[in-house]
Amino acid sequence: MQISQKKCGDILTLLVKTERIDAASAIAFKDLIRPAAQTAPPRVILDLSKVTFVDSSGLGAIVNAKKALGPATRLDLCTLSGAVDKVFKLTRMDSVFDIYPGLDQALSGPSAG
Amino acid sequence: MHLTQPEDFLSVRGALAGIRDDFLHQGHRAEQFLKIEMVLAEALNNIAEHGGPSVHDSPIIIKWQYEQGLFSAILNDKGHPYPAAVIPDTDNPRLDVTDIDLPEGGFGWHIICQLCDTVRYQRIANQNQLAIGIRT
Repeated sequence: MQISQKKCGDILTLLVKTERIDAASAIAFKDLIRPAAQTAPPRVILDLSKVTFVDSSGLGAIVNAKKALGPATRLDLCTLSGAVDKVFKLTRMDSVFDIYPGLDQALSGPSAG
Repeated sequence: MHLTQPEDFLSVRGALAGIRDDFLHQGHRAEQFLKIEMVLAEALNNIAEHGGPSVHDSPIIIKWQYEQGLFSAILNDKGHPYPAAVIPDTDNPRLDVTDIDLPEGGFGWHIICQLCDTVRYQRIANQNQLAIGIRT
């Protein structure tokens, strides 16, 4: 599991550089997010462009990330592939997160400016 | 037929990759495997997580076929019986809660039941048998 960080003003972008967030990698994902959450700015974008598969454990890990960031930070998602998008829709988690089609759209989202 | 020894979730990942390879080798398209992989991942993770020690000693036997757009599979394992409540209960966990109370689990069976056209669970001779049908 690898996640790269890029801070741009008040927005932190986390790019997941692994294809699967699943039961086998969910704990590693949480362990990587936790330190980033300590110093997170008001908005974090989780870029899932490299992720091709998320199972229910991976979904739980992403929810866990939202909680770890706390109420002062909003977590938005972008660039969900077909299979990942399907999991979010099936579980109605697409109603919990703001999801953008691409990183550019996410960066110019609600907190821009 | 595919056998997997579910010592951990990595072996589930390996089993999924093996079935996917066989599926593609038969000339089917990767898009057709999308729903199938989502369902099998949840079903196998459930067995690996909740099956108890006996599933670590005996393999999960997965028999499957794909004909005319219908993926049919039977999963046999010697683990603990499935909780009676999971089938046919397909309710998604409640999401109308505060962020701190958002569920981090409980989606697996909902995903299985949403994606499958048929789901049948039986306890036969101290074994679990899950039969699923997925139209792709």
